[in-house]
Amino acid sequence: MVRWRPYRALTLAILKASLRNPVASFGFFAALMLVLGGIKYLDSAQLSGPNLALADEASTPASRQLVYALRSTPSLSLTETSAADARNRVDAGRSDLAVVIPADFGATDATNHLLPAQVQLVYRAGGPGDRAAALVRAAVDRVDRQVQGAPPALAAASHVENVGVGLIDVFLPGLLGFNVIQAGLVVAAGAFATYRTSGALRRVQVTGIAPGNLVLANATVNLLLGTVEVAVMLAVAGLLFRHRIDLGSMFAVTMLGYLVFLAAGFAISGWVRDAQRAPAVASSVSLPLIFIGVLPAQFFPGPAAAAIRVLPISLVTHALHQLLQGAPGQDIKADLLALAGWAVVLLAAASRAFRWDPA
Amino acid sequence: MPPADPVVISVRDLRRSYGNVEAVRGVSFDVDRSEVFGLLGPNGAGKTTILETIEGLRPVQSGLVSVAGIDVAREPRRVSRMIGVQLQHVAFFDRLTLDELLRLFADLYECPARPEELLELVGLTRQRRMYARQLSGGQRQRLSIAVALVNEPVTVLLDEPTSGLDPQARHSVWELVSRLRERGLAVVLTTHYIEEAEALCDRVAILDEGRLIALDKPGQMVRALIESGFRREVEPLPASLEDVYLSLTGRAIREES
Repeated sequence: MVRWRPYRALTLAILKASLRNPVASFGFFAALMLVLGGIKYLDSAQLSGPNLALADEASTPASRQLVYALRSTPSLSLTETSAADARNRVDAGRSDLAVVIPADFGATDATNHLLPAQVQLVYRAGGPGDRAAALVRAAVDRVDRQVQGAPPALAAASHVENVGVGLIDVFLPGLLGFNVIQAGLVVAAGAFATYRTSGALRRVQVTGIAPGNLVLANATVNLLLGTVEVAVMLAVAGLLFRHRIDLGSMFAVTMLGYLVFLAAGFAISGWVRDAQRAPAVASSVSLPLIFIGVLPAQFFPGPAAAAIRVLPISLVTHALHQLLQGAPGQDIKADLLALAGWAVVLLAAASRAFRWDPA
Repeated sequence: MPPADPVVISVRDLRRSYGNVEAVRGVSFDVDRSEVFGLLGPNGAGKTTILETIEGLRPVQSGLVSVAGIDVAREPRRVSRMIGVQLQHVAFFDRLTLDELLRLFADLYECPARPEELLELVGLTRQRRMYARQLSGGQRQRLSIAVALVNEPVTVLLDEPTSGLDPQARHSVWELVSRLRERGLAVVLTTHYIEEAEALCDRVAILDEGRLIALDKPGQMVRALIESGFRREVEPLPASLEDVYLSLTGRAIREES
């Protein structure tokens, strides 16, 4: 039977001990946050070099000047193609920005003045297309000034698309899944096995308190720390990549997944009682799950995909992918229900498997 | 308040098997208030099994074990709330200070916390803000005894409390055990050190292969042996090498940190 005073005391003690060991408690999380920063860097930095698909439908001196200006911009890589193909390349994610120079670009009137014309830009917001579009606009301005004085006649018109998948859409669900597997399954399995092997668990047992107090206290601390980690990761992802993601729903999905993996960790620590073996078993379970979690389901062959789809990690990442694509909350109801089912089954297994003794 | 009945622990015809191996074969004894009771015997004699059965860590397969009149088999939880236990392998939650550990155990027993009093009793007041792993072996054993006293038990069970300690640390644990006796506690300890049993125990039980083969006061046992005609071939010197060692290095505890 769980009693308030022992439960509260154990929870505070474990929390205090965890906070006094920040490397063990938060090292892995810090590494994941660095990966998140790295993704942002790859997404926007020169490393990936914004890739332009350019269609020159004018072939006027002014348009050739613009193409030359863009070619000479060192951080841009340029592919010349047709207008339709340029748009297709952006849709398929092969180019970051489509630049279409219309046929009337650089055309002049009877008095040899430039007629107004607009270069069409198509790109996705929040990616390298943003920076490339700014560079193209600057180049258009330069050409306009070179070809004639004021007033400006040549400009760039942007069409910002909100389709397709960015790096963060691929990686954020995986990173969140990675974190819940590590913080739930691996940490819970290791902590209990260590308590048990060191004899600390037995020391608590001889006080006559029910094991449920310790299990619940440990789960509370893990959930508390996990809540903070998930909230920080989502907030940072929201700040870095999107102004509007459904943080509330994403938080609910991740925390439910976290509970499932915590229960799995406790179950493993019950079955594998050796402190040296428990982390190894937890890793051999978690590594394939992480692999499955990061890769989209279509990467796997038919029958395997169906089985993989019902694994907790796939349910978590699938629901997160859906939310990142802008799906409403009710679209992930099936995933949430299946996760809740896993949580019930694994919590029951964990409470059956729990043992005080090392052998 | 200790119970009026002087008998605190009663073990009657205790038997315990592990598969085909009989680890304890019909052992009976009583332990009284203000008594230090030693369980002696070679490895595998059944000492730890008996101790762990009294502690409620192992079920009573056959026989009767009671503490302060309460049947351990029927109410193991109630018994564990009234006894103090020092385990053979001492381990505590890491990264908690001694003060915090004693408060934690008071919360687990749901009794008032008195860390200052207990740390003073075991001589660890200066170390109260240290972690258990920063203590020396002897200090850790004394901490373990302090933890065993958190719930104001009627009896304290000590499993090889001085194993692996240097002579100074061992003597400090002996002094502590004597103080527990003065407080009216029944103390049960297992040990491999015969001189420890002789110096510390009011009565000793000698076990071999799960059987109780002798039970008496150490002096009585020695007298009975002499009366049976036993004589040492070499007359013992009035001092031992341990006396030499202690007279050279002193009895003061050496703190490792």
